[in-house]
Amino acid sequence: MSLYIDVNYESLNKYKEELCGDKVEIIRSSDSVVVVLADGLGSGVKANILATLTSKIIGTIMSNGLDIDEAVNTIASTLPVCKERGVAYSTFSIIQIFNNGEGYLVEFDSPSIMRLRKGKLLEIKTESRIISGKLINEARFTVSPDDLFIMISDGVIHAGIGQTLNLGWQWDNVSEYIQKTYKKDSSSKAVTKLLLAACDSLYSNEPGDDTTVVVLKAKKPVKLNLMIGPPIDSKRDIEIVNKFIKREGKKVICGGTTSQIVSRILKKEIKTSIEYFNPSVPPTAEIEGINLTTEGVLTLSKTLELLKTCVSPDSTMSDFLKLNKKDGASELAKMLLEESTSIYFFVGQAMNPAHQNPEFPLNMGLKFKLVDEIAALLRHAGKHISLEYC
Amino acid sequence: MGLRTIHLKLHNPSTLKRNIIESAFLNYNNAFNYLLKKAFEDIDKIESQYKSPKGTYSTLTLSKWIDKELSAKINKFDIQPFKDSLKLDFGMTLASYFVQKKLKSSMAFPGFKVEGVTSQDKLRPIYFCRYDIKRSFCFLYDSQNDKFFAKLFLMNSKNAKIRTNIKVSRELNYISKNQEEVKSLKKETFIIVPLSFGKWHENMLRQAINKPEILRTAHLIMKGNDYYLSLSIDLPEEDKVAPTTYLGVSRGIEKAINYTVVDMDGNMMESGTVEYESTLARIDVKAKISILANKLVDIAVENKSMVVLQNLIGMGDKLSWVEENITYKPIFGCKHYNDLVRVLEYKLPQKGLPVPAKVSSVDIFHRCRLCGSNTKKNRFSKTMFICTTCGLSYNLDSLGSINLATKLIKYENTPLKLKAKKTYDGIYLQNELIGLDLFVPRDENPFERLKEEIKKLSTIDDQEYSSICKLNPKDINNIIAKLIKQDFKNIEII
Repeated sequence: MSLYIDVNYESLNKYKEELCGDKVEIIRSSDSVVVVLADGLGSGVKANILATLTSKIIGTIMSNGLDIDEAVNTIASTLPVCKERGVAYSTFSIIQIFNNGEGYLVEFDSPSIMRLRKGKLLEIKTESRIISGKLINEARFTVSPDDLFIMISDGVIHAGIGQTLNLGWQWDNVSEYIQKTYKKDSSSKAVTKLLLAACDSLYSNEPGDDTTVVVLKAKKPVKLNLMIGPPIDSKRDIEIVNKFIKREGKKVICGGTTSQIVSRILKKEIKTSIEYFNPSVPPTAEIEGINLTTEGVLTLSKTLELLKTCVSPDSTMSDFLKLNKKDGASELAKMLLEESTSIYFFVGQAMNPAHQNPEFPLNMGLKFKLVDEIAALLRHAGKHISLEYC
Repeated sequence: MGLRTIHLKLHNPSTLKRNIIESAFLNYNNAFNYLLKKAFEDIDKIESQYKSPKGTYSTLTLSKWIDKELSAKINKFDIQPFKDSLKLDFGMTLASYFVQKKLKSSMAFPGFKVEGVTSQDKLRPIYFCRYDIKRSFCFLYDSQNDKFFAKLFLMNSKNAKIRTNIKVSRELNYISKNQEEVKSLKKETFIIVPLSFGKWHENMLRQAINKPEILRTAHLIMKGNDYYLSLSIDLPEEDKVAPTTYLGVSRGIEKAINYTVVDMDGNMMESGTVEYESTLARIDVKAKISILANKLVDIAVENKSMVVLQNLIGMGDKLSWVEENITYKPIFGCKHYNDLVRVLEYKLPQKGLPVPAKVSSVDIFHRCRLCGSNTKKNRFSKTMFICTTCGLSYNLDSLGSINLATKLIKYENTPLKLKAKKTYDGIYLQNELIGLDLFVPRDENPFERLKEEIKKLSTIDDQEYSSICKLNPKDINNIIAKLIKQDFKNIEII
């Protein structure tokens, strides 16, 4: 069974620091993904250098098939010694998950990695050994679909210390919070955002330490097929529609004319949905066998807007919550960003004269521009994207 | 309306004055006792003859049962100084008896003594039915020394005081329209006694100096060895203030009372707790509540606030917390919070502010003020809230008051719910509250048709409304106006 590993991370810099002393390295190879979280000693530039070196060295070594011993030895001999403190120190935690479901983790002086299965904390039994004078905990395990792994730096454990919470948030409370907030269909990005928002709030928006959250979610690949616009040659309607329907995965149709074509060929009725009334987004429709049927350009434009907001580094939890709305654009954005791992676009090249933009060449329309932007964004977010023009 | 009762103490009356007061009490009580005895003998006749055509009883009418003959008889008790008051007091007592007898037929007649009242008995207060500088009672003011005095007419001409020295030791003026100077007389049927009182009462008496018409009636009360004048004073209401903010007042688990002020858009302006000074820890609960209420009123006046309070009658707020088998309860129990509510309900209108709103508070300690998520899971600990939907953390005590403060704004923004039913030919949209019953054929835009229909509803006349909808026309027009103002975005299909 092949798994898709959805990874996301975000950090809060210590208050008034420009550089974060935590560093995350994600390396994907054909058969695995390696994620390293390093926390450099102190804060600011020095901590950033220590963490960057640590995460880079470990990530590179392990993604090339070498073992942790090699990585730790290299770090020990590479990290610069701080003149003031007299030590070269960075904590780290590593997860490597293979596509076949095998998992491996290593921890050094960092908060234990949390693992959730069906929303409940699942203990990871680790074994300890010494490498180059460092006490390392490691574990090997099997990963199931929907398993959630959360790596956190010290800043999360200490969130709110001396302010909102006397003793800080603490590991047990963090794990309890994650279990309370667990939702099966939440993406790794949404979980990251939520946890970090809570930390920021506990710190009263002035973090006392660099704070980083990394979330990995193991998913069965979810394919989505999206048909936008009628084929340029109407004689190919039946061929394209049948190809679209036969593909594995969810089906989405965008466009009034496109839905009518599909409806005609499949001999299924189109029913306009009135379950959500939003004047700024045209209503959706229902066709039996199709997961979502929306209007065309207006909905895609709004979808792009939502995706840009959510993918942006400045996005907040409330931006993600907007994806839960029931209008066509929010539903489409949620399916693309949160639910799918690979998306196949069928882009019909027939032009709708009403959508022409005089600033673009005759062979480009608003629709194509929107599709290209959406595809690029999703690719950047780690999705597998395919485009077929017809 | 601002009628209230304040208690003013008669400050250290001399032995002579005490004797005069005690005699007046005995005289008044014996006269009253005598009237009750007489009335009891004739009660059925009184009950039937003095009933109004509507079946009610009035104080004035019942007082007229005391005819000339009876009125002359009670003179033997030396009650001439307060005869009018006595008659009205008697009328009030009978009226009250008849009203209560109507509700409960076994109601006992007011008690009286066959042999007469003595100083060992519990004595009824002496009623003064009007404020008058020549009879009954009035107040005097020494502006040089800033002192107040009560002048009580307690004697008749037979037992009046004879003054050998009519020189006045201080300059006194009546608290009256013309503020006449008080002059001593050779023969006095009254006593003048200095008064003592707190700052709050002083403030009211000072208002009376320029507006003596606010002074109404009084009762002279005996409590142990002290005497009090229980005065009814009709305070003018302050000019009405149009609120520009909301002030939420909630109880807490760490601090007794918490407050938050928000503007009309729900943005926080000010937040804090109200407490009484620790030196006052030994005062009784009633006094503590009064102190807290005064502080809250000051905050409300300063911010021109509409005050929003918890409705803790019949429903709780789930503020208690159990941890490791220990139950932590709010500092203020429901009873004390409700007492605070009652005090605020009369203090705020006196300052021109609206009567406070009482709202459901079942969710104020679980609902996120940012995203609206409402679940018990949001409560992290005894004092901490961490939203499980958006991550916002909040001190629990503060959260309660800010959620209260924004409640009315949320009610205002609640969407209008429409029932929708799809058919092959089109869609039905209904709302009973505003009398909406619309069918939109499938080839028409339901949203545009809905907008047209709602705008049409706003033009129909009041009589038609009452036949087609549940709400009154004013409420319906408010709802429609809100919809139009928000361009119909505040609609929800169910």
